[in-house]
Amino acid sequence: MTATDLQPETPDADLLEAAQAEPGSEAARRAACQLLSRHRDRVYAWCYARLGDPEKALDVAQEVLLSAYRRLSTFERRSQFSSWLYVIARNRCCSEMRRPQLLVDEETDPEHLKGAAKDPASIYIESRSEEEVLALIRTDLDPLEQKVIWLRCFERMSIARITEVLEITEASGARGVLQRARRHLRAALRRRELITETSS
Amino acid sequence: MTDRCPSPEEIASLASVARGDPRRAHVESCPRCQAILLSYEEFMAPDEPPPEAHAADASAELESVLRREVLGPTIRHERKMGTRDRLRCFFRVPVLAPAAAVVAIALIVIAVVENGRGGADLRGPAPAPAAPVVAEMGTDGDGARVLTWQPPAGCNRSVVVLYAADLSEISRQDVATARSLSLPRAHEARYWRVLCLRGNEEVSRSMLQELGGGAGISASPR
Repeated sequence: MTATDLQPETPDADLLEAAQAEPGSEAARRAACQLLSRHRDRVYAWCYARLGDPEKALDVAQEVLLSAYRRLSTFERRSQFSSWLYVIARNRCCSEMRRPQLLVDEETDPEHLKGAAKDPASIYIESRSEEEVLALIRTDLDPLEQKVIWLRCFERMSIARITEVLEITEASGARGVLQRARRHLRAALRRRELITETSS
Repeated sequence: MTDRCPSPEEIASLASVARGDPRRAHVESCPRCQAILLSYEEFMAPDEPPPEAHAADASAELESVLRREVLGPTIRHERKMGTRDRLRCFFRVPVLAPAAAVVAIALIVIAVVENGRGGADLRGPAPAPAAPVVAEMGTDGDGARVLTWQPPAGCNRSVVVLYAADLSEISRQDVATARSLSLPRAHEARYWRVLCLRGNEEVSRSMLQELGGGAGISASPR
């Protein structure tokens, strides 16, 4: 495939093949540019939805696209290009954002004071490995609570969006489920005598 | 989440697989994997698009960055687009390009006439910063054009930028510490300048100069 063969409707897979054929050649760079350009708006929109700040989202989207370009030769085509690009965007966005704490979330707990001292449960959770936390989530929360916790704390999805994608019909939406999940987590920690607090 | 959980890339690939398909069995029963799949579906079809004004600006900037970084240069540009880059994006609109070229050439002609010094002090699309690099062009015995320059103190790299007749950038060549560059007689470029850098930071640049060869100034856009 040559540069002149690249049409707007050329499938991702063909562009990818052209981009990887002779890295550095003009044809390869044109194909790579077209491929990345095709996905630029969705990368930006997704970063914006996560970060909520247009300038920051633009910076991150730019890094994602250029990182994808630099690593294009390592893509083994075992999945779709969009899946691969999504993982780069996800990793980059997640490292950019502070993870909402599992037990305290300033957005969903309005009464929580920003910068307030952490409670014993939060300190305990933060001292555990991710695997231990996940085991706790899996054994002590119901499936809906698990999904909400995961989407909020690991996928950094907004509360409104979680309510929508999980079709939560209760009045308080995902916020209510999240607060309930946190109560259950605290109770589980107390039951196992992992923390000594008497109230949450 | 279990030890059997696939990677996010593998999960994302299942988005195109119909619900109920055995390949999705794990994802549909695992909250963690389901969350990642939902996140990927949002990536492919965002339901919370950014405000249109932001989206349009971002789209133009990202396109510009991709063209610059993937198609063009050999040096990295870490800075974000400034006013100059925005103007360049503006003039990339196909309808405006010929008009922009005509205006640019007209300004150059006026500058040449006013100063009476040929193309030696033509200014290009960007203003040159203080302490411009002194650069000259000559020819060797074979008729090839030889560009030479003297970088200011503190510069450790030079980049030669070549422009077409309509002042659109054709190429950038990172020549490292070299202080001269030969161009074949038949090169398509019509103007040139040299950027002197310290690391990746531009310190100074020469004025835009016409490449000889009898072509003269032309208003025809590429």
